[in-house]
Amino acid sequence: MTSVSARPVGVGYCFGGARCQPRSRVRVSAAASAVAAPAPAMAATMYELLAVEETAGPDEIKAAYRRAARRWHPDACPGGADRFMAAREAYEVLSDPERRRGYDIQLRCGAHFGDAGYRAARRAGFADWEAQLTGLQWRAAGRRGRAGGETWGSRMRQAAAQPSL
Amino acid sequence: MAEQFYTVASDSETTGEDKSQASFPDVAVGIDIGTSKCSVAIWNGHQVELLKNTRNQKGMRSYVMFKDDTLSAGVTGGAAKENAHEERDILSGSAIFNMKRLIGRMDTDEVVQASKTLPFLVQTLGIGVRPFIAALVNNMWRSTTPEEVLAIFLLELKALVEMHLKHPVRNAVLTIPVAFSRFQQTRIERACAMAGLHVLRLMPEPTAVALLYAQQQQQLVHDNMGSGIEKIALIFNMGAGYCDVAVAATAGGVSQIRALSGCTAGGEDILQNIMRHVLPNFDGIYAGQTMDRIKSMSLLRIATQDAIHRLVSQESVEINIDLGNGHMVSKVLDHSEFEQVNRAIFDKCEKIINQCLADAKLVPEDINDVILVGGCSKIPRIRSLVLGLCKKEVSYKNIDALEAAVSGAALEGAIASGVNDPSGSLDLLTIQATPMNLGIRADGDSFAAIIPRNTTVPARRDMLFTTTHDKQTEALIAVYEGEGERAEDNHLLGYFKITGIPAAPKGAVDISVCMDIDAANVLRVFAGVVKPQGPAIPPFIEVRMPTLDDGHGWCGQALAKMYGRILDLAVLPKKLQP
Repeated sequence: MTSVSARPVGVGYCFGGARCQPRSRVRVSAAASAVAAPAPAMAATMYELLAVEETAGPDEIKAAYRRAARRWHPDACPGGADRFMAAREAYEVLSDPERRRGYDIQLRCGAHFGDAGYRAARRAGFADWEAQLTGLQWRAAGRRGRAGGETWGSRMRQAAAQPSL
Repeated sequence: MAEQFYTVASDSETTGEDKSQASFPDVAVGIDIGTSKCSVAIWNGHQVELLKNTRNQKGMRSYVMFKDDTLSAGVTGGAAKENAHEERDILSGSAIFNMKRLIGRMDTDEVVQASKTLPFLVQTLGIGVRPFIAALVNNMWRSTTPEEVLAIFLLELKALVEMHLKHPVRNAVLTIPVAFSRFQQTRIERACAMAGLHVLRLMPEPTAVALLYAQQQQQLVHDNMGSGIEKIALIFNMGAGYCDVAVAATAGGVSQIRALSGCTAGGEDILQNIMRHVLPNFDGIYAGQTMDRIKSMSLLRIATQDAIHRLVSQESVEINIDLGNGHMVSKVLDHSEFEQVNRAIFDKCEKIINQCLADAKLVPEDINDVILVGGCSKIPRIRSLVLGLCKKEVSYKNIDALEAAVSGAALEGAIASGVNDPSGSLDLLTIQATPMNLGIRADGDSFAAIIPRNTTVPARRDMLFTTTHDKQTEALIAVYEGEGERAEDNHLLGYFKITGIPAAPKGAVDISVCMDIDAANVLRVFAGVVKPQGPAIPPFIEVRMPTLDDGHGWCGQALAKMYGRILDLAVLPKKLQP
């Protein structure tokens, strides 16, 4: 994972307690319960982040995003910014048919990186091996004298691109 | 009423929030200081309540009078004075108004240039520094700043609120124009700090209206649990100083801002255009800021303003003014002439509406409601323009044009303060968007946008860069905000250097620049080397932006000249971004 955020993930705290608790009428699947944990598992898929089935339609995904926003937006839950941003990104990916298709393919390939891994794969030109090669050639040209070979990021991007070859 | 002296203490080093005392609820108040009018509202435990001053006004004039060594803000406005007299006093040179138009601007700004026709003193040198502003006190021009004037005004407003609530007030949510840069926002926060107020949120005016709209939709469907049907509203706000547009998607009490757009165009510009049209050679008649000029300007301004107001409900109006010394103005103004003179302003409005719809990826048919707010939304040409672009016959009726923004700010104040209302009236959420691109200078003078405009807030985005020289060990991070493709066309917010980059061939080291906007709209920039080959990893640098004070135009030029080439960075190709 080559994206680096220097900010440590703060421990979320809640006040006005009811705001941060799931409502009794909202069904939370067992997998999605992990999202409510203080440190959400990095392996959670975007579907799990939004607590929807993988077959959910656009309206259901939008409703799920709004429910997640109510729970985690910093206005409702101070300290929930990271979770809100994760839900927002999941919503953006799953709302775009093309991006969702790419994400689904990646899930089935077993490359289980959660949203961060998906971003790396998408921007690395997942399923677009020609662009991938062009990028790698550019990098190789810039690193002609480099010792030690590829970075972790390069290896990860190549691994993510392999199933499409 | 005896006038009081005010001591304005500089308190710009406010950090953190005071602990809330258990004896009273610390709910943030909503404040809408418009260029022309201001209002204040609170959540009173059941609903939003707009406060009135001692003259029973909910909308108060935005000015500060510096007459006879005493200060008197428009909050009370000299209660004993007659209305007509008050207007002439405000235009006598002793009062500073239009603070919101002037705050945070340099003297090269066309808004500042246009303000030189105002009765108080505005002097510019045209070199990118803060303009000189002064009020007439005892026949002398006494200098001040828009921040100071705003702080004095806020002090009196705070006193009004505390008198009403009977306990101290600390936190506030203020509305701001969409077009406000982060530099201008820091000026507002500084003025609030001087007045003893902590800014909980700075809320773009149309998003405050969107929150009010969300509450009304919530009450309509009486369904707090379901997602409800999504409704999309286009909110157009035009006051005396600024014009803003937002597209908000609302369902189940959640209001998602899809796009924001704004510009500096308002009633003040319309007024200036008509004044110039009615008396084209005004500057030729009077040279310098003489008493005759101030008096004539005052008469012209009052008459023109009155004519524009009457034009809202009449087909044509007569303007007759005796400026003295043999100068007479006699003119009939009708709608077509009014629209012709202000064509450029209406074109600006049209442009930002179209941009907002395009950014939201919507066509006019997708809009469910058109909400028109702000004083200028009463102008017939404005109404027909906005409704025409949205292909609607009528606008949304249930929101008061002048009270909407401050009501939304009070709602946001209650929500952000953690108020829990059993009736569900505060079961609301506004998901904000950032109105401008944020990024850094890279690849020479290019602007690399890291957080694009209309990104949902809070937001955190990063981008990878790399060195441009062999063995380059330092890099300059110059942070900009704006819409231009070149860094120089945008607003410089601040800068810092990354040091300790491992010496290596150019392009071999990855440098990550991450930008984080929190829910209070505070921008932080993190930058550093990513997994270098060398044994030591320099720590990341975190800088809260903006860091610059005045002179950011000069600073940008100096940075580009001295460091633009040797400390440059290149953007990694898109396919290699994380």
